[in-house]
Amino acid sequence: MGVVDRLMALLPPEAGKALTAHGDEVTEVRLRAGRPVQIVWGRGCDALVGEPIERASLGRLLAALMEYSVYAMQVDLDLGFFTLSDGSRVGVCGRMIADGARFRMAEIGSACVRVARPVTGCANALMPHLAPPDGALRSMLLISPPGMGKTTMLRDVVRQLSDGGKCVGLADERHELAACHMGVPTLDVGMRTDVVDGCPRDQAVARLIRGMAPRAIVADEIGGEGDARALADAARCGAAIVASAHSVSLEDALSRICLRAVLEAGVMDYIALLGPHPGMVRGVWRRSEGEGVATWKRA
Amino acid sequence: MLDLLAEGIQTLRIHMTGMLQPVPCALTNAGCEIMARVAEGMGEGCSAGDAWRAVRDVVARRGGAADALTEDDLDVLDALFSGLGQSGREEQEAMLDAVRFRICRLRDEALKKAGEADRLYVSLGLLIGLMLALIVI
Repeated sequence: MGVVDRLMALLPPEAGKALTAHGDEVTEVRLRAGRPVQIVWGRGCDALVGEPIERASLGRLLAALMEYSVYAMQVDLDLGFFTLSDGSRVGVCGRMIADGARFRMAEIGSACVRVARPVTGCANALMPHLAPPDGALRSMLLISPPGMGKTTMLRDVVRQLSDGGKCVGLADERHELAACHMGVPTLDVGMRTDVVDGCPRDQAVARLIRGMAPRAIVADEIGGEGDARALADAARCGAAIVASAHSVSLEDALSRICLRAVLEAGVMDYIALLGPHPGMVRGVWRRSEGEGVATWKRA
Repeated sequence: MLDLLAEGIQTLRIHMTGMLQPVPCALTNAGCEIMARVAEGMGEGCSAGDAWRAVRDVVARRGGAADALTEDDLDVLDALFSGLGQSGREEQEAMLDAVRFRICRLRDEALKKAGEADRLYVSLGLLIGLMLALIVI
């Protein structure tokens, strides 16, 4: 059962009806204690529906989404999210308490359910760049602001590369790309894909290179220095890299310190910018070397 | 029965807080019939507490999986299932350890009572045998 169906059963009747009305178009459901349910659908349409949700009801609803297994989500909750069995991510806010050097989520005051919905073929525009007819795979960084479909597109890239005959190693730190259950993907990520699920990206990439000899490594939302080092190392080992990151423009990506490390290391052959609407590709840039400095030209 | 439950809770603890399996999976893998019944109930989308309340009377009646348990034992299971999965890892570990401790204590009490009953029946048997012998003589 997908998250929208589960929410229809769990939400107050009025909000459930509104959710039913927008069905397949729903992209987000935002729940806040003491306020009505916010449903977001299509290209940014939204509505506040029903009576305000009580804090206790919000707690019960989230517990049900977590399959009554709060302890299993604890680490992710402390980081501000948890992932559902269908790959949908639920961001959470509320009262945090200090526990030594880290902070723990003590009480959840609001949540944002981002509905995961595989879109077969949404990465078609990128595939000629990633897997040209010469048979060699190229590396690509997908960038966009939040909500433009990076994860969905990355999942389709994995599926197409994998079903196209390449072994793909997937570093799925937040369980969103493959939505693994007991280590087995529940979403279609292709026939030749191996997934390291729930492990920090840099460690997952190292494990994949060491153990699975993939032709391509795929990772979502890279950002840390460790990610840059691990991906550069994987590229030196001969694997193509496909990754995504938050950025609003090419210039923004080039100026972000954590991404600059990846781009200056010569890991990426292409950068694709998604937007302005979910699933759309605004532009693709190809790296070219000139006087020892990498420059990016429209492909 | 209490031995089986204590073992089941130990296994449940490993699957829940060690392997971070969701409650229904961990209950199914605990190797205990009562827990498996609760896991089945959770498949309907309810909490472990609600699933337990739905099956409690069925398993506790004569011939049920928890037929041998007393009302005290069932109270411990009430506490176990109502708190299962509702808090963080450390809290769950503490709760499962506390429940296991209570079950082991109830098991020891039950064994002690059974030993006393055994001695009583042996004494009664000897007494009746002696009386019969005296009557025959």
